[in-house]
Amino acid sequence: MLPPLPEPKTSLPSPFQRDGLLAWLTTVDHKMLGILYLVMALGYFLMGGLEALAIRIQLARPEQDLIGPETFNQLFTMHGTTMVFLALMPALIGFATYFLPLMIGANEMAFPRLNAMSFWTTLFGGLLLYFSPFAGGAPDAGWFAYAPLSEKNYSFSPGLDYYCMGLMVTGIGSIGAALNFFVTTVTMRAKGMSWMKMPLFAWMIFINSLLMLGAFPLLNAGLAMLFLDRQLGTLFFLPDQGGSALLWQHFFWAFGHPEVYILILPAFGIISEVVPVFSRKKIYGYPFLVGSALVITFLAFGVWGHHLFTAGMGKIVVSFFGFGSLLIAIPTSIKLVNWLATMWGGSLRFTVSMMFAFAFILDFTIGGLSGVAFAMPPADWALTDTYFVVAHIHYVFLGGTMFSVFAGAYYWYPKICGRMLDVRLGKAHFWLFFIGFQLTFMIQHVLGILGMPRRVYTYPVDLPWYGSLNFLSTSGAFLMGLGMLAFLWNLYRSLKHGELAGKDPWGGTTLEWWTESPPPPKNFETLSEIRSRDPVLDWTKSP
Amino acid sequence: MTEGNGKEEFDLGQRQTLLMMKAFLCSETLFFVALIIGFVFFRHYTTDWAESQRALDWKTSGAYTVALILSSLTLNFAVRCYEKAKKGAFLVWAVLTAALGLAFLGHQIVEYGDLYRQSITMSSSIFGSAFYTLTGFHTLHVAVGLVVLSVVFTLMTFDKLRCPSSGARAAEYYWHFVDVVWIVVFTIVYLGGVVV
Repeated sequence: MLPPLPEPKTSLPSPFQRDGLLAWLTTVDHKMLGILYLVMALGYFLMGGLEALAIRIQLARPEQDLIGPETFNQLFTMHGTTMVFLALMPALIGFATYFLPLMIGANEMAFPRLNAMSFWTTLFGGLLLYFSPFAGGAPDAGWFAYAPLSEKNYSFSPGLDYYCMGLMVTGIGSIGAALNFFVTTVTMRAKGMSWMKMPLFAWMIFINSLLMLGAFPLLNAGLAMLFLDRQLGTLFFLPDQGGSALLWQHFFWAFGHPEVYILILPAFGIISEVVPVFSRKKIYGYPFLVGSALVITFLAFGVWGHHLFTAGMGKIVVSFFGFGSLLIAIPTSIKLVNWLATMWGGSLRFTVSMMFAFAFILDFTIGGLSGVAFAMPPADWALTDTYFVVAHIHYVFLGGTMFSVFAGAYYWYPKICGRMLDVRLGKAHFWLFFIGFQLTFMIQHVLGILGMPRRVYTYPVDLPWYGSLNFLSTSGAFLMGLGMLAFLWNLYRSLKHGELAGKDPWGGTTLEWWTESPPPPKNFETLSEIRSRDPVLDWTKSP
Repeated sequence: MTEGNGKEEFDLGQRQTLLMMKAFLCSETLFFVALIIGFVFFRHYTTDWAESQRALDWKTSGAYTVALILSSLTLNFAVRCYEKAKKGAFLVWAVLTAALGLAFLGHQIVEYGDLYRQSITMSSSIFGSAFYTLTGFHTLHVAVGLVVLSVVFTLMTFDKLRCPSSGARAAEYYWHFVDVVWIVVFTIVYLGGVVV
């Protein structure tokens, strides 16, 4: 046995008991902050989900006017912004905050106070955004707020000012979290855990922190300019006064495309943990999973132009971005091959977590293929701004990222709460959500090809198929809503009544399964030297 | 204490602080890259740019640029003296650093005032928008840097920091960064205008 792990010399102001409001408000413990992140993400996910349901109700029948066009614009803007910045990112950051230190055998993050600051700024940024309806109107220019629509003369409610401020504040939180992940991974790995012995989730979080550090400053610069345009009268994105609306598109997507990978790399990490455990096999091609993620990170900063194919950039630029975007399909496919090969010949266990992992692989492949369609400029010209785009991003964000978050939730809930989630409720959640998801979004591919534009608040009666397809799409959304009710009930009920989990209910081999469930305030008293990628397996065989 | 290479003298927590500051500054770099791209883009595509550009006095600004570069040097001396426990020399260099930084900051404000009197404002033209935003964000960084330095200097003067101090080093990195950014901004905004 090695000497005890290094601890901060002075005790941090985190109350040791886990109850009491004050304990949660003042905590700097990475596990408590991780839970706070996850709860916040769940809250905003429900909020964004309700907005989505409102959108779908309005679109269920042609020529409805339950929700007027102004409100509809605010709804889809808030839905998109909430889901990307306040639900998916905090969910992934939450898992990372909780499990990164555990997985690399550390007792804390490198900067516990910065960790707390990151959480509270993210939450506060979200609250700013959600204050906008009370201040005169929510933002209404779509989640990417294209100029000049987002400028004062076209969008004069204060909504977009709150959008700029809210996203800048959450952006500061994200940069803080990224700095913490980066330094924690570099400096706090347990003795013997070399880079290539690190769990893949930790790898993905590390790579993700690089992406966040690179992408968020670009968004912040763009947001600062937009905010100055609206508040101090600068002319950046006003083409009639010498500015350039196209520049905003470049800034936003130079951030926005890396952001897509910020949302999917940690998801890859979760799937790379779940699949081998429930296949009873080691991950196939570990170095390729790491390498392909690094390639994706590198390419991520060179493909934003494929969001601007219809903006008239010229043939050479369009070809460059089209080619670059197609290249990304290669490292992504490598990962799919890795997961499938891991399952191949394994003894699969169809736990709810594994079912979500399967669904992830299926949906992400479909979303990836429609992404390849968009990487080809001629296809993009035909399909851009139709429901095909809506279907595509929901296949990668909801079917991809969110399904991996569900997989992670079912996989790690026993570790976080000490009790197992109910399997029957879990399966109900899975099937309702999975079928609802396919119904809602598979159909939207068809609607897109038929030419239904995105972001319209209604459509005429006499268009062929529109009414029935939209109605099916809406009913799918309600199935997903029912699935979420099962999930919420499961989360709540299992907290008290779930089966006790014990240290390692799934037979996981990474370090988080070595400690108690839930882990004590100090994660590990001592740790032996790490000898392989499966330390728990090594120590159980020969302690 | 002998002059180390900076590796062994710091414990884990201090190394983490320095690593974080470096990563943060890499991230900050991209923020300025975005602002600079905006500036260069507009200069390239705006027809009456040169006219507004002539309002900039590159010689005076050049002099204050030298002052900012010198402040980086004096800060370096100040921190080295502190690490060698030469308190008196440290104080001299620290005061000099703060004075040079303040001089730069003061000049920025005076320059803005002059330009405003020539009715070059944020909303008068795209030149004004790009110029004030780019240099303004830099000025903001100088101001933040001065606050950080004054806090660190005060703590160092009253021996409230460890020696060597990662906090002092991190503040030093930040100040050098602000300095380097200004060299690039000055070259592009002021000298670029002279050449073009």
